[in-house]
Amino acid sequence: MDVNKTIKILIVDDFATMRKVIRNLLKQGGFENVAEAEDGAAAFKILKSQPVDFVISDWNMPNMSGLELLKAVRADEELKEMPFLMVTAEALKDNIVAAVKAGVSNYIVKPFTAEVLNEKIEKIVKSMAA
Amino acid sequence: MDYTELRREIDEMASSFLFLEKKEIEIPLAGQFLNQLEDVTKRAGTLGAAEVKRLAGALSQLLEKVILEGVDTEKGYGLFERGIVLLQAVADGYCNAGRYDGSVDGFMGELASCMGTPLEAEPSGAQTAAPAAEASPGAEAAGKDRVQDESLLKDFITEGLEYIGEIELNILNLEQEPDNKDYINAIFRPFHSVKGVASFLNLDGIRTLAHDLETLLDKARNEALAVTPELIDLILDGSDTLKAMIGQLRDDQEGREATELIDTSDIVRRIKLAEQGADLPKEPKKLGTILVEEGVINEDELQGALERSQAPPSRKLGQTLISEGMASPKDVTRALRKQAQQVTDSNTIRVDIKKLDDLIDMVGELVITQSMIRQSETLKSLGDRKIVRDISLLESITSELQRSSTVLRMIPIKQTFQRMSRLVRDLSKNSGKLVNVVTVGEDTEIDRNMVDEIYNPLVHMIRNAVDHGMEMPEDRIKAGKPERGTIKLRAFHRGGNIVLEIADDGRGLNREKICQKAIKNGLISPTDALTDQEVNRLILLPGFSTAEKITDVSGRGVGMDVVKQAVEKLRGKMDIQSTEGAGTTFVTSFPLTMAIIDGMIVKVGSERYILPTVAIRQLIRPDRAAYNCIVGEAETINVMGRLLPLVRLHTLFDIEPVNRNPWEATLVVMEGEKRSKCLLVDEILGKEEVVIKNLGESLKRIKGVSGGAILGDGNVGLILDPEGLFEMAETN
Repeated sequence: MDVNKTIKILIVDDFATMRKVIRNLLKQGGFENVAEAEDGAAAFKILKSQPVDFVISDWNMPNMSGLELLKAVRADEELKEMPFLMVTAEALKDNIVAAVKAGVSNYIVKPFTAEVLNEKIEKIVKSMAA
Repeated sequence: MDYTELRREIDEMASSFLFLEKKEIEIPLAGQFLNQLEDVTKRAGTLGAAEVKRLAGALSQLLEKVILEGVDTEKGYGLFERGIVLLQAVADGYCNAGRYDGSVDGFMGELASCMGTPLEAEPSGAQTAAPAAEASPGAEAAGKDRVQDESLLKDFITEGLEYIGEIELNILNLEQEPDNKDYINAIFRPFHSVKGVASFLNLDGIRTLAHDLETLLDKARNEALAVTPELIDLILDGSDTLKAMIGQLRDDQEGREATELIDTSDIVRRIKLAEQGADLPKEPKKLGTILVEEGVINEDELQGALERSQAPPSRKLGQTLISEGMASPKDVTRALRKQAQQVTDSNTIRVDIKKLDDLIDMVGELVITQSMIRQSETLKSLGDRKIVRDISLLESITSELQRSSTVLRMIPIKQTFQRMSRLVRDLSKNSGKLVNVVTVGEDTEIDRNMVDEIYNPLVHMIRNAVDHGMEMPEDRIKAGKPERGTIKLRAFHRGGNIVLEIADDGRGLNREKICQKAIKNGLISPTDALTDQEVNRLILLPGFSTAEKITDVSGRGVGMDVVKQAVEKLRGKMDIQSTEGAGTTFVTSFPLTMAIIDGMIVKVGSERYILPTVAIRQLIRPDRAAYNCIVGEAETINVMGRLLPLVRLHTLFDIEPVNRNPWEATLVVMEGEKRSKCLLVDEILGKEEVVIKNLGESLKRIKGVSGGAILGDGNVGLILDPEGLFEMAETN
């Protein structure tokens, strides 16, 4: 089964260049339907107001961190099934375990290639479909 | 005890595990397991089911490891499955019999060995998957993403520089509230973001430096490191280097001449040293430890050799090792060199200020004792030459000791000034104003204890000067002033105080506006006739500052009244001079508490007092004609054409003097903050360097007296405060 490339992906990162990096990598994987948010709070607003199929979020952001966003999403009746990929800088054990416990769909460690990103997305989407 | 809930939860885990795809990890399910295991651990803890608790704890560690890709998924899951089955059996035992008769040790051992295999070799343990993830895919990305790199690089340069600018501002906040985690986080984040993008763009130098700085800050955030001024300076230096590196990228991009490659080795080394400062003792490692670390000998051999070298005839460890052939001379010399290196790495030590205070106090006691011995009549009557010589030697040694111990705590104001200059630069950059900083008197020394105390008030005055004093460049040009403003920081000693001046050449205070505001806030009435000086001082009143004053730079709307209070708490004084259109000068003066001062010992009647020499202009015995006394007015003395008020020390302190007539006594011309007066004393006994001693809480606020000191003969003399004396004379 091929993953639907037209799903809408929301990139959440406070660093604009980083959002662009991820956008470019997604494009290489064929995903072009992309929205951006600069922190957790902005992302949550978008999630509540627009149809989004997938969230890629940074861990460390002002206002609302990635973990807080994840918790808010999982606690929200409409959004709790949302596929959520967490981007972290290092495989810091505490961070990742905290994210996993909070119900993250998967995590990815910076820097990553388009292939790895693609793989992670496909894996999540497939397991959701199964 | 009810184990059914526990049992039910474990069974639930077992059944959901059955449906798990065993080849690949499913993160969401793993998360569920982790939460369940945590729950089981807690429950087992309260029920007292030790084996269940132990097993569940170990299983969640295993699972974490699988999640972090520290253990092969299939192998990890295999173990996990067996663990769950065992957990079920143990829970069964507790359920039926209240205990478990078998042992979980065998399985726990297996678990430990699985988790401890090569993958555990990564020393920190916290970063298990990081190196693999960073190394190979990053390199792969290089070729592929070259095309998109160009535009990304440009974005990175702009945004990166912006972010680092943010760091600098936040650091200034942190400096004032070193414990504020929000500020640490605000500084941490930009480094983190810069590092993240740099890793994608293969900018290794930038990534490494940002990473090191981030690690340092992380330690500060977790309180493994204290936020000291040194740490802050280091972070600032680090962000400067980072900025320079990104700046170089920009030059490179814009095709400008390549500058010399920036050397980061020094800053990286300093960061590493600072990091170690937290968890490593400062004292150099022992020779044996170094040799063990180098793998020359092992721990047991070291212990043996240590014992043997201590046994008589005692020898050095190195000699024992060489003579017994356990280490080659080359190994030992290399280790010794390494040890010496460690010592030179830290040629300054940090000492608790309390210890210094104690030392200085004890030296004070020593001086008294020494002086008592010197004046002992019994010793004098001996007439022994040798004793006289020895005592004078003792005297010179004690005074040298006193001098050097007092100086220990005095530091030049330079460092504070440098920080202030930096603050001005950052503030001006942020507000779009152009400001130069000029410093005068950087070498003026001040007690270390005072440095910290005066810091906050100074910061506020600087902020005020940049925020409200300085005009925008275009306004300055319109006003016929140079585009670039100047803030002058000046420090000097005056009247036994250290005076710090912050002068700007900005717009100055607007009399009209201040009066309006003061009337509006009910501080003065419209009919009050105030001098310029009085008007200026209005801004120091509580209730003058309003919320309007808050800007994004000042942050909090702290008014000048708060600054004034802070200064006064330090027994300092504060004043403002201002000329509209030409600038404002804040003048603060602080006492040099606990510092040495040069004192003039004067005698009045039978009492002796110390006058700070810095406040003394002249010593005179005037002609009778120079003395004027108008009935009902103050007495004055004509000192070289100037009429100065006469202050009689004996009247102020109610002492019976030897001389009442100025032309028979001695007059000390003293300079206060703004005015000079003549002080009438009986005679001058001499000049002496004295250590100011606090008079203690209860006597602290006596007017005219700033402290006490131990005189050369061991007696205590009071140090007089000229300004206080003047005030006493004026109110009498």
